[in-house]
Amino acid sequence: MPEILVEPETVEEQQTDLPWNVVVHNDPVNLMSYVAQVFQKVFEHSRERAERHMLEVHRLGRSIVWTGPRERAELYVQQLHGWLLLATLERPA
Amino acid sequence: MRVRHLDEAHLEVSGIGFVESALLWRLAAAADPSGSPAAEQRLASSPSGGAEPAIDEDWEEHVLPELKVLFSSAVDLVRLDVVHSWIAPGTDASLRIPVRHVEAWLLALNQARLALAARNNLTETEMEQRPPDDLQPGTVAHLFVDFFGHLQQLLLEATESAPNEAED
Repeated sequence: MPEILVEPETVEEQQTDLPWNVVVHNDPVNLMSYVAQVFQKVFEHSRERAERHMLEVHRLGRSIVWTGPRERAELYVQQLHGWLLLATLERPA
Repeated sequence: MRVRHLDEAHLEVSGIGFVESALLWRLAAAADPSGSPAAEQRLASSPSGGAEPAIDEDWEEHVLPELKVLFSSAVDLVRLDVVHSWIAPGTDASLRIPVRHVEAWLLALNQARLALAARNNLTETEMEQRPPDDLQPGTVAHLFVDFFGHLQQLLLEATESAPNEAED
């Protein structure tokens, strides 16, 4: 039986379809209130939800603030960098 | 120093004395990361932290230039608001900030704080403690970081309240 080869393009396409994580990392210089307000602006989070994520960043060092398609995740990371938050894009596990 | 809504289109920063004025006067310089690799790196962090080289390279080529324009535009806008705020010792002044400039102020103040902290290698522990009573560059930077943070907090609180709530 012939060996089945998976084309690299196909693998790449499948990976881009998987949800990516937008992660915000702790930065001791950023004010907690500033970080919460940025979450409200970028993700239109409620104040309570924004503060939950902000506290997670503060206490645990990071918080996954959004998960979804790569293109949109990149856009969110760009917006977060525009506010000078330490944000990264993470490939799904 | 306090911040309140002057009307629907303006915030007023009042109680600006000589010291506050002198610190504000240097906001644009503080926000400039030039000459400090640590400050430049903090204002241009990568989107994947090196885990996705292709994404980081694309970012550096296409996104970073746009972000640098955004950061310098915010500082330029704030510089224009501040340029008229210089006052002589012994007097108090107020500064009128158009509400449409507030986001630029928040960003420029954050930029200045991050650049100063990175340039002077201020640690989280140092920033949580009372600054030492010397005049080392790091101590002076700490003073600026604290002052800009205080103003940033006042602006954040003012933007969260409606104009009529903030009036006396």
